[in-house]
Amino acid sequence: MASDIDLPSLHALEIRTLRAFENNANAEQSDVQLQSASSIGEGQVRRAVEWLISKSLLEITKETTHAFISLTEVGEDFVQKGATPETALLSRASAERITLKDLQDDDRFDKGSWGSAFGGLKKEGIIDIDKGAIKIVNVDQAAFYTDRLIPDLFGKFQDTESSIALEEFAPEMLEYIQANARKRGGGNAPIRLDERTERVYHLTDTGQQVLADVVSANLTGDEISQLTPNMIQDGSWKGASFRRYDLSIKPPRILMGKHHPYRTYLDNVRRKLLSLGFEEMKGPLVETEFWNMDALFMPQFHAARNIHDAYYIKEPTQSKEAEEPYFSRVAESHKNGGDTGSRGWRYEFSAERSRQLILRSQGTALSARTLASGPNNPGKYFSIARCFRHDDVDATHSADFFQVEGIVLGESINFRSLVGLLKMFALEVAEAEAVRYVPDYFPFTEPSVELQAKHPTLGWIELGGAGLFRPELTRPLGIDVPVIAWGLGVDRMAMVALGINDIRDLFSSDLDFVRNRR
Amino acid sequence: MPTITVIKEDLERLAGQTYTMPDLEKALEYAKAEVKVDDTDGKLRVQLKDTNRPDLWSSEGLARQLKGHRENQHPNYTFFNTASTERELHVDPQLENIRPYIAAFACEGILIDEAALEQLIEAQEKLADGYGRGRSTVAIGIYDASTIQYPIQYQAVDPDTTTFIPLEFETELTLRQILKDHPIGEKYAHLLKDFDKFPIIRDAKNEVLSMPPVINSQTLGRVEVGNTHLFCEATGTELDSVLLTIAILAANMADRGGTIYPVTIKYPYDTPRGREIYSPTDLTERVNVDTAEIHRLIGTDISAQDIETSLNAMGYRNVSVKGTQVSAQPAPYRDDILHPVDIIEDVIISIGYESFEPEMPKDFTIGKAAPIEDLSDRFRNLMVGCGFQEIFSAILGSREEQTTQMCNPDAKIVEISNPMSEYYSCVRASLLPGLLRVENTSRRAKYPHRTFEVGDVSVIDPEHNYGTRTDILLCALESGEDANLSNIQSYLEALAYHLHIDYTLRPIDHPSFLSGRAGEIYVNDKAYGLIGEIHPAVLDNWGIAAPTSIFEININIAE
Repeated sequence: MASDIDLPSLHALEIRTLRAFENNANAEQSDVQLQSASSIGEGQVRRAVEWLISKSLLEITKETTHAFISLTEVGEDFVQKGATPETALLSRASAERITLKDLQDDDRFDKGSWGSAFGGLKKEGIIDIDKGAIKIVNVDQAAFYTDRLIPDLFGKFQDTESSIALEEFAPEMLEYIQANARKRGGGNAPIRLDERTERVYHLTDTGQQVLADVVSANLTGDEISQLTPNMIQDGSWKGASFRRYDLSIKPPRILMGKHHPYRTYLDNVRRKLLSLGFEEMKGPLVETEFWNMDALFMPQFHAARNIHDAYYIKEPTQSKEAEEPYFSRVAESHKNGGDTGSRGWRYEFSAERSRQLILRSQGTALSARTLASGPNNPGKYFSIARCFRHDDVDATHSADFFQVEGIVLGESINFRSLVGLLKMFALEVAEAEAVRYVPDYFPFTEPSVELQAKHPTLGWIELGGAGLFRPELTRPLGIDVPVIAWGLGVDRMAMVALGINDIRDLFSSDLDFVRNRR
Repeated sequence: MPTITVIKEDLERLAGQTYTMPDLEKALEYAKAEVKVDDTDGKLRVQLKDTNRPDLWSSEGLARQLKGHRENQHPNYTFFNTASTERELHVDPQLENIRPYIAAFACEGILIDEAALEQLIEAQEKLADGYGRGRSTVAIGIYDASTIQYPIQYQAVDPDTTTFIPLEFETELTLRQILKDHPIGEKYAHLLKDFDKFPIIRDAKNEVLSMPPVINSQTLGRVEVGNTHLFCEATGTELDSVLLTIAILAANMADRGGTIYPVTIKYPYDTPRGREIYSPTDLTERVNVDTAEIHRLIGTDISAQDIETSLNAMGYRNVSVKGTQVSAQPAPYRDDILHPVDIIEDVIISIGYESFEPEMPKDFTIGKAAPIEDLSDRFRNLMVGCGFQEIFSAILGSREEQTTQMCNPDAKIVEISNPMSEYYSCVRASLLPGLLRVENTSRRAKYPHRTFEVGDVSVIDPEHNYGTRTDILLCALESGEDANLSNIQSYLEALAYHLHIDYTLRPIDHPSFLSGRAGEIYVNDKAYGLIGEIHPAVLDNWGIAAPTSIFEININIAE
């Protein structure tokens, strides 16, 4: 075969269109000719022709534009009545004395049509009003309407429903046609003037070769494209030939149901923590300053506690009541250490402040709640908590973000198990190559550790922080064993894993972005 | 967390050693300090993580920690709690209810060069702004002491008749004019606005030193390169904070070679520490801790010698380890030892975090998901199985999105009283606006759109102690030519079948939905959510061109 066209993958419409040239491969054929030779419809021929041209099997040899006249509904009405309002008016006026009133009572046409016919003829100087009666004043011009218009224009459509080429009308008709053809979107015009391009095609050398191949392979375009249940049942598949697929062409990708990529990332973190023996904690988005800060032994004068660091709730501004017995014990712990062995922060603890409602600013609030709720001892807990910080929103700060945090409590907990736990997180959760532990400061832990991990692509990064909760925090909540508090920064790792540079894209509202992320 | 500017050469001179950058970064870890920017001009931006250690917020403080840790020994300051008769400062009784506390010292033999001056200003600003909370609880004044005459007067005076020349000005202004016409005065005017009389510090000759906590005088209150005699004071509303500030500044100047001369402060009223205070003052108390407690907290036994050495290296004084009893006094410029655990941390830091072998937590515990999150996952998986794309959106949004854009201006939502911007001023009560936002952004994405989100919302609940409640909702949305009530309901049907939810719909008129095409989802006479075709007016508000139908349910419907 001379061309690299895969014969069996030709579409049935392409085969039939090629076969229209079977009797004379060198012939030129127009659209209309192709339609009748291939016995397929206008639209299908047009598609097949486009495909064949794009494969360089067919080429256009001639393109001509013709004007065609067709009737509108109004025009069809004229044909049916054998009259237009003008011809009807003129024939009545030549036969009898008629007034405008008489015309309007004539129900062959509506009042508007009579009116415009009268106005048009009067303007042309064909008729005038004489003593209330319509009088023909220019008989020669009137003859155009009475003798020519119906037989030479509308009459021609008597036996056909399709359009007629403009050339077929007498030259005298052209002026009327131009004046009365419907413009785009026009109203009551009786006729329509359309332009149509007619193309003539010719098979290219390759096309002629492919046609020869098609003929010798005995392809008819009747090959079956889709096996149907009927064919299986009635056995007609036997001996049928099936159109082959071109396997090099890929179909469009289906739009599938999918989890969100960032949520999937967090799901994986959650699964790892569950598999490491951690129990999940949940808590409210709206928190009191008590659970969010006081219970964590953050003094009310702490720099991170001013109005610019948390979002305060407009209504109500405070919880109805303080949560006892924890409230009183925490207050003592702040004031003078209570029974915790601490001297406390030594300041006036404000109960009002403690009841203020804010949006949770740190996941540690959940750890405080868990400690107060009689946790398992030994126990391991985690949460993936949505938190809110009063920050300007930009590429690295989101109005809300996730903190992965938790606690580990038990008699055996100490500094060495704290760093052991961090090492496990770095290796298991972050897949780090190496870890470092650096002294850090959190108001609620002592000692406090910053976990640095060597990430495969980012190098040394700050992966998280941890420490042993201060006794001033644990004892008022009823806990007498050491407690590790830990937190991991996941946003940055998620951004790297998802190939995202702007933290706001973690919550992107672009459907294509979410659909296409993998 | 304060960040300070440090001149590396100055730091090295004070620390008595030069450092390569990696060595310096490693050494600063002992001070919980981190180099953020290493400028080419020899200046470093250092972030101090410990907000309870203002003594470290200066080159002098950092250098003291570096040197002390290297040499296992810190300077022994002898000027604390010492009475002085030649340097006295007298407090006016009227100050008791204005700005009651003051502490001070004099310093001689210090050479103020460019670096020292820069660091002096840096330390003063960080202490007053950070530790002193914008000068409200503590403000600092430093003066050229060469002409100051004792006793010094700390007085409350009439702001409209008292005048002096403020710093950087050439003419005398009344105290009230200074608050109005001087840029620094304007900045701190709010600290004095509630008082009839303003604080002022004058020397024995009535020369004005300053108007604390606002501004120094142009005459005595200027410190310049070449000065060798300084006078330092701190005023404030919390006595211990004022005293700690003075202790830190005195230690800093002593470390630069100055000789510190104490000042006796005489109060006409009672203070928590009496009417006569010898300043600088050592506030620290001895702390005792049992070695068993140290061993238990670390998880390993360390020797008495190691405990003693490490405490000395961290600046503790009079360290003794007798039997199992460890006793030590913190450095006089520290006020962060609340509990024995604070001392134990210093032992661990001093020995080095990486000296201790990590040990996996040994206790056996069972991993357990929160039941509500497990339920969320069941809904999420079923929705993905239905061919829906999961969406994950921010919880904070604008009020308009939750109310007027939904044609539901009266919807009750949790609002923030101090939003950063109106775009993040409300907590969502519904997930629907988040999904409509996606529709608005994604008009070019191939239709049909089928999206869902499962997530936390906050709803008003007057019964609750907090007035609000956090619920988990599922919202599912279909947008495209064929979106209508019955198509979206077929997905609800699928969920209901697989989660054994026996629901009924009751017609509802809701402004967000087309009338006659919305229903409330009920199980056992309790409403759990809504289903319907979004009203074209709502679609218009969101700029959505395709018909859209949704349902939104509380996932507790499946309980």
